[in-house]
Amino acid sequence: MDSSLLADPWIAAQVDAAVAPYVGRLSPGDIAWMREQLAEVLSRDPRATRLLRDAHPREPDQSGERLTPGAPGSGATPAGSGGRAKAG
Amino acid sequence: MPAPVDRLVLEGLEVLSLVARRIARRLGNRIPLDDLMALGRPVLMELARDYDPGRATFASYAALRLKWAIFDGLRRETRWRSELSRATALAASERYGEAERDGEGRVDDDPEACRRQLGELLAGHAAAMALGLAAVLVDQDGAIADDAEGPEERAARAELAEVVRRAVCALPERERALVERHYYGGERFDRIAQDLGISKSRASRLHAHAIEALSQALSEGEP
Repeated sequence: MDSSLLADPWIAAQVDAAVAPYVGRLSPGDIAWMREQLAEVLSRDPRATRLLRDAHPREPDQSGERLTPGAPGSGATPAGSGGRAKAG
Repeated sequence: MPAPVDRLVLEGLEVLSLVARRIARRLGNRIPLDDLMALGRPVLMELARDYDPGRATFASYAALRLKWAIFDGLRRETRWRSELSRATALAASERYGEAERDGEGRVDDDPEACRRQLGELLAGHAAAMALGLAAVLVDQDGAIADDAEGPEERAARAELAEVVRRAVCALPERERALVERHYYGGERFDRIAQDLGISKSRASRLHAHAIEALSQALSEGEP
């Protein structure tokens, strides 16, 4: 399970928004399990990884390049997502 | 050198091992890997015989068929009843994801549009899982299954089951029939599609529409 994606605050916020309607209606264990499954979707589903790559806000790192989720140093590693995008 | 069918069966065994491992991991390794593999093994010969090389690689074709053989098998088994709700939830999410991939249109260049689509996709997967979890919480007599940890949690689950049931009842007729018969009636998805006189891919699209409608209804009823 690639839960490392959830270390990215922006990604965690998207996942939390998706499970929000079920918090308090399902056990904390089921909610945690749902979050893990959504992280799995984001790391393995081709449509989800593409949308994540295009939707994720990119922030400049120290080299002036912009980090994309999945790139080394981004703290998250979705399979099939892109690497770094040069800042314009 | 093995005959083509035998060779495909051997390749299918490797695919089965990968698929079963992935399902076992996603279900918290609570179901023995050998038991999951046993659910897929009976269809290997059929897969090898039916395979059409013009449509997909054998590995991708087999992975899809074996995944559903395992999920269908899990629903039939009674010894993993405690894992059934998560297995059903996972299967619902997988079915929704497959339809979304098959029906995928152009991905927008606009990051805002991508964010909206990503949010909808994740919400759909979450609603699919909630449907799977809620449907299995209700037993044959309509009572809430008594496997929650405490009274408060049981009450919350009961409320979710009720909200999901109401949302299912509000679906258009064919979508409702599909969801009710599969999730509450335990019928196989392909048999329902056949009975409704529609293709399996059409049924998958109807299922995805139903999940999107449920997602919308469940978000509006957020606690």
